[in-house]
Order: sequence, then C-alpha cells, then structure tokens
Amino acid sequence: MKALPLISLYNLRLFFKHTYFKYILAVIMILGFFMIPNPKSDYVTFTVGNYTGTSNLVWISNLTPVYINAIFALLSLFISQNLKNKEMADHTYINFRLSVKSNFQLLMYRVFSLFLYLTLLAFILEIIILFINYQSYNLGLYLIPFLYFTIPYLFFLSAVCTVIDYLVDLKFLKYVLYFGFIIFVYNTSIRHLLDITGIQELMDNFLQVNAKNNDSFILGKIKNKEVQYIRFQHFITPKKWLDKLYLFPVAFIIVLGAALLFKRYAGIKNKEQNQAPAKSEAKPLPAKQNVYLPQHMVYSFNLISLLKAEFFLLGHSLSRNLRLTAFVLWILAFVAQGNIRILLVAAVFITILPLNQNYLAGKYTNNTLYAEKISGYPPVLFVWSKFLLFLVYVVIVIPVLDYSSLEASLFIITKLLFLFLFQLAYTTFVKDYLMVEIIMIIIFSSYFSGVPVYEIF
Amino acid sequence: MSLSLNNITYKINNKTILQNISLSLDKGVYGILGLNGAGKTTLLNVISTLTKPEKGSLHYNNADIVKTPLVMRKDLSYMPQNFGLIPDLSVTQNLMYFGMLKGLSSKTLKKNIPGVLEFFNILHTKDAPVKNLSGGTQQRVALALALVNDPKVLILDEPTSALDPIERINFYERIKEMSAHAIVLVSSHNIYEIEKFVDHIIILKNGQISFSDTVDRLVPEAMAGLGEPGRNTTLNLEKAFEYFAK
Repeated sequence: MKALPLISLYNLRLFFKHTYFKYILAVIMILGFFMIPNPKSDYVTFTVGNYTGTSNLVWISNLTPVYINAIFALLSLFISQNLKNKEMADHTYINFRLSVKSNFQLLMYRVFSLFLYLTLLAFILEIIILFINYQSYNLGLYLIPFLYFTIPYLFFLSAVCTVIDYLVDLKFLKYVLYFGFIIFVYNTSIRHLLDITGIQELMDNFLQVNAKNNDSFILGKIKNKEVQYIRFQHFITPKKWLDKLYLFPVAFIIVLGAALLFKRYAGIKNKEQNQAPAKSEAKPLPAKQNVYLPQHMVYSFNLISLLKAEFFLLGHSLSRNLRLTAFVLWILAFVAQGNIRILLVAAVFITILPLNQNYLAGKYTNNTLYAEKISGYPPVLFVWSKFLLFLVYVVIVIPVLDYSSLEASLFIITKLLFLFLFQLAYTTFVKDYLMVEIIMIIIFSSYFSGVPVYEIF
Repeated sequence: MSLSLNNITYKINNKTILQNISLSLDKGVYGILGLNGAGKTTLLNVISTLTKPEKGSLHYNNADIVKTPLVMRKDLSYMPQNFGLIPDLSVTQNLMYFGMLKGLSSKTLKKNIPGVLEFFNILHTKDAPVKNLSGGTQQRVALALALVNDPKVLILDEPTSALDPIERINFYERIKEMSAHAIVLVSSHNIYEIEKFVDHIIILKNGQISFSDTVDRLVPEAMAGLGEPGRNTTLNLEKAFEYFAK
C-alpha cells in the first residue's frame, strides 16, 4: 500500500482542479446555510411530528451532520462522476491498466481520495456553520456528532460513488443506480434497521424527550410559527459506535465485489485515445513556402495600451455562458427588492469566481509570467492594471449601493477594495488562487444564510 | 545592433550555473548547444532579462540592460520551452493578448495575425482553444507569437522539438531571413538540426563556454584538440560536439 498516498493524492488533486470545484463548494455552502437555519431565521427545516429543536449549539451540532449527509447524498454523484474519464483524458488511466496492483487496491485508492475530498468539504461547512451561529462553543463536543454521523457515512458514500463511476459507463444507468442507493438509505425500513444517514437517531432524540411524536419527519422550509420547540440539552454521543462503524467494512466489501467485476480494459475504446484534436486540426494544410511580412508595426507602452490588453484578458477569462449568467443576474438585481437583490448580487460574485484563476493567478498557473517580465511595460503598471477587477466589483454592487447616503456607499466600496487587495496580494505572493476562491465562496454564499461572514453590502 | 555579455556569472544556492560568460552578438543566428544541465536555458533567461546575473554586465546597443532592461524588452521576443500560452484561450486570443503585451495595438495585431498563422500553416486553427491542440501545433502557435511583433532580438528555447522535419526546415529558413535585421538565439540539443541554419555555434559545458565560433570551425578545432586530422564528416561533427560538450 506504499503507493496509496501518491495515487490518492493525485486523485484528490483532480477533484480540486476540477472545473466545477468552486461551484460545488458554493452550492454546498448555500445549501448548508439554508438548510441549517441560524438562530435569527424565521423558518425551520426539520420537524418530527410538529416539533423541532430550539436553535442552540446542541441542536445545531446534532442537526448539521445529518443535513451534511443529505447534501452530500445529493451532490456526490455529480462530484465523483467522470473521474475515470478525466483520468483517461489526462493519459494517467494507462497507469491504472498497467499497474501491478490489484483492482481492489486501485479502486480503494480512489475511494480514499474521494473520501478525503468529501470530508474536507464537510468539515469546512461544519466549522463555518458553527462560526456563523455561535461565537462561544465547545468545539470538541460539537464535533462528536460530526465524527459519529458523517465520517463513516462519507466513507460508505465514497465507496458507492467510486464503484458506480468506474464500473458503469452508461450515464443513465449510473443515475438509476445512484438514486436507487439514495432511496435505499432513506427508506423507512432500512432507516430503522441500519440508520446509515443518522436521521433515525436524531428522531429518536425527539421521542426520548416527547413520546407523543410520531415516526415521520419533514425536511423543508417551514415557518417557525407553525411548529413547537423542544430544547435539547445533550449532544448526541455515540452510545453504540458499532452502529456506524459497520459502514467501513461494508464499504470494503462493496469495493471488493466491484474489484472482482471490474475489467480494466473494458470501455476504453475511443476514450483513452489522445484528446480529440480540434476539428480544424484534423486536416492540416500541406506545408508550403509562406512568407510573413509584418505590417504597420507601431509600438506603444503606456498605461492605456496596457489597460486595453488587461481588459481583453479580463473579458476572456470568463466563458460566454458565465458572462451571460452574471449579466442576467446583475440586471435582475436592479428590479428585485430587499434580500433578493442582495442575494442576486452575491450570486453574481459567485458566478465570476473563475477570474481568480484565469485573470489574477493565470500568469502563475499557466507559466506565462515570462511575457509580463520581458514586456516593455514597467512592472508597476501591471499592478495598477489589475485594479480593473476592482472596477468590475464596483459596477457589480451598483444595484445595492445606498444612493441616499454617500458615506454608506463609500463604505461598501471600501470593503470591496479590501477584498480585492487581499485577492491581489494572495495571488501575487502565494502564486495560487485556491484559498482566495474558498474564502470568497464562504463570504458570498453566507449571504444565503442571512448572516454574512463578512458583510460587504 | 549589438548585444554583448561581459563576464556573466549566475548562481543558485551557491551552485554556479553560469561562469564568466562573455559574448558579442551581432545580426545573425546563434545556436546554443550543450548537454542537459549545461546552462542553456539559464543563459537565455539572463539574455532575455528574465533573470538578473549575479556578476557581469549585459549591453544592448551600448545600453546597460541589467540596469535598464526596458531598453531591450521593446525589441525582444522570447519563446520558452513550455510554449507559454494560455490553454483556455483560442489561438487568436493568445496572439492578441500577448501581442498587446509586446506593445502592439489590437488594430495592428488584427492585420498581422492571419499572416503569421498562415506562415506556420495554422490559420485553420485560429478559433480553437490552445488546450485542444496537439503539442506540435501548440509549438507553432508559440512560434507565431514570437514572430508576430517583428522582433530585433529573438530568443527561442528549443523551438522545434515538436515540429515535423518539413516544418523545421520552413521555420529555420524564416529565421535565417529574419537574421538579416535581427539577433536570433536558438537553443537545441541537436547539432544536425541547426548546423545548416546558424551562423555561429556556442557550446556550453558546466556553465562555461567551451566553443564559440562558426560552424565551419567546429570540426577542425575539435579534431585539433583530439589530435586527429580534421575530416569534415557527419561522424566528426558529432564527435566535435561531444568533445566540447562532455
């Protein structure tokens, strides 16, 4: 198992470098903030009978892992699908096929990487929810339900998702199997027998406090005026650890079974070929003696000409679909009212997140810094030119500026400036963008909880 | 037009990468050869002002470009080994953006980009994202980018590694034409590839120049050093290179 760290880490890297990583994290955060309401919210999302828990640290710590399990049940297939295809596109799947390792080992490496990834995302969500809702807390006790409910479940889920992705090529069949699995784990009979997701144990808590409760639960947005509250005093502690730990050997058995069925050479035709060349490249023109005669070479190295170049790069750092989405959300923000307007502006910021990777940090991640270094422009101009992004931010917040108070509007713009300077400093000195993206996702998705981590507007 | 290096020394972590390199370059094609780790890329980085030397001076048209690198950067094009392109942008978008960094206006670039793409037979890929192109085509895009601004100093780090033989000949012929009004520096592992096109060969050995002269002088000097009579054969060219590089 010496190679476990390397293969698992490579696969873990694939997840983080996945084009949709930032959106996955944003969706998880938004769902988390919505589904686990903060104490000031006027709605609840989980009731047993007509009862729910009073929003205190105990209730949040019990509820959060159960909801994290539900969120990941919804998203895991999307996160894990096409991992095999991605390996093929990267030409690393050949190592899988030629490896002297057994199918079981190779699949387990991938299970571990997915498990590490899901656990990291879940842990970020868990901590952020705690941070937003409570300023003083007992972290150790708070995390016990997370360790108990979520960790074994995520390992089990990782095994199921990996097996489905690697064994099944047909997309439709993948979905059928996956959603069949989700229905299975939330099925009432299975819930009573195995309680894979932890939801039954949470309900049992209600029954212990109030025996009148029935055996049905509701997940959804319910006005808090329509429910009665029970104040829970105790964290759910693992009285029967084996209830959840059995998920680990079950996951191993599932992977073992899959390893026996897995055919390394199946389904590789037309997939593991070199990445398909651009259509136009398929028929190269015959070589001929062309002549290139440069015309009208006029050089200019001032701030305006550099701003034009940077504006060009900024404009092309977002795909056409993202540009359109951001624009539509921004226009809608003008006609929306109140909180919806704020949420739409927050959504615009989430939509333009790829600018961190493509615009601010692109020269480091694409190894194109040389072009800037040998350019005829003074280096300081490149720093100033990046303030174009700050101007974009100012335009984005126009719908939420307070036109009756110049001071309030300037305050918003100042906070945006701090955010931009942090982005610029981090990408310049660390030469990466991942942490900036995570922080921005947390900032802007926390608007959906009603209690932003860093209130800009 | 002249470019001169005087006693250039460069170290990384107390390890000497370049030692007392002195060269005087005029218009023409200069081939920089050497084994892996000889210091070829570092030398090109120093000449292109990407890296500051620890000791020594560089002058371009009598201006000290260690102190005032912008003087040469306006006339410079550099193609790194990894091509230095933005994978998500199309071929044209790459040439537009990097061309603007070379000081050209978008209007000028729009006029010139089709011509330089045609020269490398990649006009048909102009709208394709670079990441979808093969390695050879990406290299042609990088070469097109290096030539688009009609540079006076052109530095190419292993520029033809992914090109087919016909494209290599086309490319070097163009480079030869350009050298009538430009200083062209080309690094390579392969002496046979560049011998017909370069005016001058510089061989590096452990960060020092072991040979710097015309191609014609390479074999006789090596043979003289080996104590063998000079025979201008293919075998001797290889032996000559080995003699100076190993």
